[in-house]
Amino acid sequence: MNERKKQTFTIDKYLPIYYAGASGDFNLIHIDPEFARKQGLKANILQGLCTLGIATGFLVGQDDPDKLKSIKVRFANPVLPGDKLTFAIENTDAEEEFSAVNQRGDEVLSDCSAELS
Amino acid sequence: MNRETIGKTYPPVVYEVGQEKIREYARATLQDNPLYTEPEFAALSKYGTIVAPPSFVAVYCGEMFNQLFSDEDLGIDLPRIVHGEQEFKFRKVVRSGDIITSIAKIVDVFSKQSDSGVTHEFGVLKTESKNQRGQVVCEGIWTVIQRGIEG
Repeated sequence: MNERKKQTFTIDKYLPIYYAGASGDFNLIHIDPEFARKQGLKANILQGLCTLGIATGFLVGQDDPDKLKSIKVRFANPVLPGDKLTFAIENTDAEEEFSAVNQRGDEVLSDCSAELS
Repeated sequence: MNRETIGKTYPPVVYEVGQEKIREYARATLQDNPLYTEPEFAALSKYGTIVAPPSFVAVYCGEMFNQLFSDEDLGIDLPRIVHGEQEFKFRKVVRSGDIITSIAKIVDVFSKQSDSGVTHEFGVLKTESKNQRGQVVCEGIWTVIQRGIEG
């Protein structure tokens, strides 16, 4: 059965800090806005693997996580505190392409694919 | 990053998966599936206990990156590192109580010029993680980018 699934997530201002605590990724570009700006970034940026985690949550939903067999993404644009990310997938049968864009319409993940059983 | 490190392997990283870490991680990645967050619900599932979201590989492989980032042979400048690409193959659901052993190998190091003329360096790491029964739970291909310095 083909169906389109779409879901929007708001990136809380402090999510990079919660994720740092949960994952151990305390790289300062993620948790210190001033440091991040000195590195040429607009602000502290969300850990890419947090965005990937949100994507797997979107793909699995409330189902058995065993259904997700693979995922592949490119981190195309930084995710900033306060962003709203919209994930969409066209079809939930087999190997799928999905998308992740922010409120400005920029892809935050590109070349995304996942295999679902 | 030093190309001569291609083929280098790192010592195995052993990680014991715990229920509260899974719940903390699930909250921090906005994953509210009750198999990850509600012990009573998960106890009645086919798994019999809380299980980890597939992306929890980021946690049990986390220490691998501390090894990589502090490896003087490789020569990474951490503030300039961003995550470029990621691929995971999930072979088996990880449960609370599992002991995961991960190994990693550098499979590529290369540089590429961006449209604006800045040269960025890329490092590609391959990981394989097994549970205490020797079953592969996840394979990963991790690409990190060391951003070049603007001319």
